[in-house]
Amino acid sequence: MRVDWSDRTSPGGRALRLGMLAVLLGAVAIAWSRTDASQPVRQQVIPRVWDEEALRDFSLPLPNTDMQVEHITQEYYYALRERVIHKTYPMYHPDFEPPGYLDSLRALAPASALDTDTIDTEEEWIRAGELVFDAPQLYLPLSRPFFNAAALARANAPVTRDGTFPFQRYVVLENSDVRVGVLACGTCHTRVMPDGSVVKGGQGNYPANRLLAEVVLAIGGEPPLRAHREQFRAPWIDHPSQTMMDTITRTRVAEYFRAVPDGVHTRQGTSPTYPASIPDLRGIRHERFFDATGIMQQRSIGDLMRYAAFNQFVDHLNRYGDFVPSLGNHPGPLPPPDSVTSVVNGPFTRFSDAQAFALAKYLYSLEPLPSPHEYDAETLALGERVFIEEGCVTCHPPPHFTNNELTPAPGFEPPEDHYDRFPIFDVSVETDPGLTLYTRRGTGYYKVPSLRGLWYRDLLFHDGSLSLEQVLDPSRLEDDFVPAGFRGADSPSRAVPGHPFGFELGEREKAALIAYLRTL
Amino acid sequence: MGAGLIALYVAAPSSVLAQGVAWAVDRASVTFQVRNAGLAVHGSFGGIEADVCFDPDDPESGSLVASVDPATIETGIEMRNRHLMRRGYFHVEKYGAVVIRSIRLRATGTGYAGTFLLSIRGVERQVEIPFVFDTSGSRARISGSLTLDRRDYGLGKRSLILADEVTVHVALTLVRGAGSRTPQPCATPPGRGAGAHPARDLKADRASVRRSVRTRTARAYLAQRPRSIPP
Repeated sequence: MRVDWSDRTSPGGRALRLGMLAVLLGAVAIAWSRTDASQPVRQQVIPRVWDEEALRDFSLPLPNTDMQVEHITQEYYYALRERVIHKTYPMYHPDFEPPGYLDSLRALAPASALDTDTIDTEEEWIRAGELVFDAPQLYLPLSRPFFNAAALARANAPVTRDGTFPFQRYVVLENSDVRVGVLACGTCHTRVMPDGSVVKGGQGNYPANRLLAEVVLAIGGEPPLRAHREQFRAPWIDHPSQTMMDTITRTRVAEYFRAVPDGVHTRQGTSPTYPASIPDLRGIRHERFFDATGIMQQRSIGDLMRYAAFNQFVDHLNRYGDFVPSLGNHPGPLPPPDSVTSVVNGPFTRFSDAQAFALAKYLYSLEPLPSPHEYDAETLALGERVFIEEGCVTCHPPPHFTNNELTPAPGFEPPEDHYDRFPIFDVSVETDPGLTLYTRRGTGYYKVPSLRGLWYRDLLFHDGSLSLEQVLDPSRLEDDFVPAGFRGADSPSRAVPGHPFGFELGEREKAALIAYLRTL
Repeated sequence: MGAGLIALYVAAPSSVLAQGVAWAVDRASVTFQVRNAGLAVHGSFGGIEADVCFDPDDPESGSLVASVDPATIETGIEMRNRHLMRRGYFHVEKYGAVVIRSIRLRATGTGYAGTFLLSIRGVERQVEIPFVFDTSGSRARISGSLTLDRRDYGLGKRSLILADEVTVHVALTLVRGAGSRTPQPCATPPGRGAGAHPARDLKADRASVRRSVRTRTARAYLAQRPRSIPP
């Protein structure tokens, strides 16, 4: 019997219409449900890294000065040579390197690891991003005695279960030229745990500063000191930690570097006197600001891409009045993009927008690892209660255990307009202001860090001074206190003030709080 | 978090020959409670100034004016105290004292209640506060509670962990004005509440807080009030 679907009154017509509606709704439901990672992502717009509109308010202003930081132009940035993401190979500790390993690498042809034009799905972007994360920026000859496997072994760099140093990898170039790849994101942002497992993005424990101390002492002449000034100088800051760089010796530089423990680093824009704790990048997508000083904002994935671009040394082309880090006092225009070089890492290069996007996708995929620590329910309940009663929860609320606000350092009064522009928790916790007042990365603030992933971090506070237990120890306010982390080059002991919470807790409450924190 | 609630004093109403009974504050307590991440946070204020003019047999003839100094806030954590004094909460540098003044007082079946204007951080709102007033010879005790939404007064923002509702408790011990044995009518303008009491001791860290020159205490408010209030 033929059904007339247009007949609103007939049961068959109604049934047919209902059936068609059901099929239509089912198709819509199926379409909506297909949002898994295998679906195409290429139709997403890849943000432009050097978007001048986005860059306008991207960085926080310098503290206590009217000077503005001038970035390179969009035209200049995109004229820099784009990087090739080479295929890389593991670097073994000499005691674990398979016989003939390096010869086997020499027999290989150079290969690119990444063609972003073929990436289609979310999963593929994330895998590509991991390749970018591990891609070295600088390739050193094997003949150089620095940063090779033997140097890492001398520095007691931690080794994974399979006998490798995950911080560096080999690259095969033309003519069987095997090189040591350094200055990847993963060089500093990879952590080897005591059991040999690897936490990519964790607080890295690569012995960067001890290796750099070797380099500084071994290389004679002016270059190490020029590199030192390129990395750290901020001539508008009138402070001894800055002015001493104009006359510092290589021996003294090496002393400063040796005083920096693994997990802390004198990255570009900090200073040997005020290094920075290497952050945990896992969970970075939930952070409102980058760096301990909150130097750049994260308003979108594009901002993470920009942050990565700057930190691949493009910030050495910033202009601070007449000062350009890679050029020193340089009031004139920058050299052409194809010829500008850095003493630190040679010719300037840049990520492609797709490479930066892949990297950001990978970093966004990293969440803090679940804690393996187990405690009884009573201890954890007490620890959580202490966490609330002591006021920790106000600045470190769940789910990310940060309120994503900025706190002013001692000696910095936020300008009035900052209260409308930035989320400010306008009470200083009074930690050492050096990093945020006397370095190029300074803003006058420290951001409230996330407490997630504390269990796989060694050293806390913005300069990696303290262990978790020491944060709650009132004896750290005394001059004869011995920090577990960074102490400085001139004394084995020093007071570590600031963040005065938990000092009066009883031992049971303190232990419970630490247990609770180790489960985050 | 927290909102100052002020002593409930009754001041003489409008006429030169004031009605009501003058009281002096012997002791004062202004405390508050708010839930933070599910647990109660308890706090208090000091720097209480007040004027009370209240006849329990004729409550409608009385009035109350009082103030508390938010720079004396105490929550048990020094850094939290300082945070609450800053611009996100009481902003003591700009706004100064919290002030409450009565509009109308009346008897209820179980005690008394008043309609007040509560001024915090430049915001003035009308609130209803039930209270009890017990006398014993020349002494009396007055106490009441108020629950308010801190965000109505610009005290902090919406928060996943900090509750909006704050409950404020006030308890005052009063003695008859000028130490007299018999009720004395309130003078106009009323003098300030007599005598120091423990709650008026200010925090030692006041030197680090720059006070606004426009601080309005109860005394300052009363000095500006018209001498004759229309009935």
